[in-house]
Amino acid sequence: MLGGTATSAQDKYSLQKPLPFSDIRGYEGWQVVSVSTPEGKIKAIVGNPAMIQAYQSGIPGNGKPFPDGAKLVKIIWTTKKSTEAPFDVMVPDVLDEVEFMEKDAKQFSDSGGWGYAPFKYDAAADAFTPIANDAKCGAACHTIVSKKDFVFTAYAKR
Amino acid sequence: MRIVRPWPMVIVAAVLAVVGGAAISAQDRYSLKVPNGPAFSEFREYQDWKVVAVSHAEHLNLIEVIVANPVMIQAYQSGIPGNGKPFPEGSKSAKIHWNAKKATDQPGDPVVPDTLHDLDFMVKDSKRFADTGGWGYAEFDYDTASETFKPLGNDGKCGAACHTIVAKKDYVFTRYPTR
Repeated sequence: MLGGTATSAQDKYSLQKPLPFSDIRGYEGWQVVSVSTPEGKIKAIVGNPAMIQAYQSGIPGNGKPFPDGAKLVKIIWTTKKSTEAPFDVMVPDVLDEVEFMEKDAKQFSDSGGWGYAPFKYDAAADAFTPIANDAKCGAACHTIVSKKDFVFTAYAKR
Repeated sequence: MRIVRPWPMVIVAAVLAVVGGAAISAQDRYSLKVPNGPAFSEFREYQDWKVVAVSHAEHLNLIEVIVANPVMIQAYQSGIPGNGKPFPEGSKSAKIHWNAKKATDQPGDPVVPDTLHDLDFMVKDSKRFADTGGWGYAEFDYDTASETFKPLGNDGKCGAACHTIVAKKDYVFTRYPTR
């Protein structure tokens, strides 16, 4: 069995740390919250139904926190210039990382109620590897936006 | 038992009130139509469609997400258009363009959406849009101040001139990247 999995595709949903990848099962089909382009990358930010409903109800702008069970996923690609488009436009090249944060006020009480889990993607191996040892990795950055319940991304009007 | 009956009337009245109110407040985007082209209502629920990809045109100061209806997402996942097959009838996609801004409150100042700029739709109907590769195109520009959309152009062909560059990919620029 081990030999078989080594030579075939990784089941990303079997990854357990820093949080079970299966906590975001089906994220490939979640609704888009927003997009963003950090240096050299481009990402889609998607949310599960609980997260999307919370945004649409006015959270976090209304001062309320996201509910337990809310989950946000960042799908990060490297970018390249489109060779086909009639104008200059940067589009996704290779998948680089999948990062998620999930709300559970009790379980993650020492990191603002959010657990964080970033995974690096290796395109050659078609496999993900966790890039953090615990679920608090995002807290240091996200504390800047503690007033927005630790969520940077705003729900973009469409 | 009789208490149950009046409810439908209440609902009808409430709906009428909302519709009446809409005329003097928010625009009903789904009443719009590109002359001789697709209607906005053909793309109802585009807000819920799944993500195909994202892109960023820096010189235009636009950032966008490309979403598609279930028919089109399934087609992408089955290997279309790379496998040489065309997208099936009823495939629909939407490009949601936002004006871009730097998010100075985030680490690294990434570019993120500011206000909505426009919505671009395309719909596959080989008969109806036979002279533009089977696709009908519709663009609706958004005005933030008045919160209203306005159809652009006078037919459903506006995208054809550009999209003909990728005729071999059934006129679709956007690739479905791994996620």
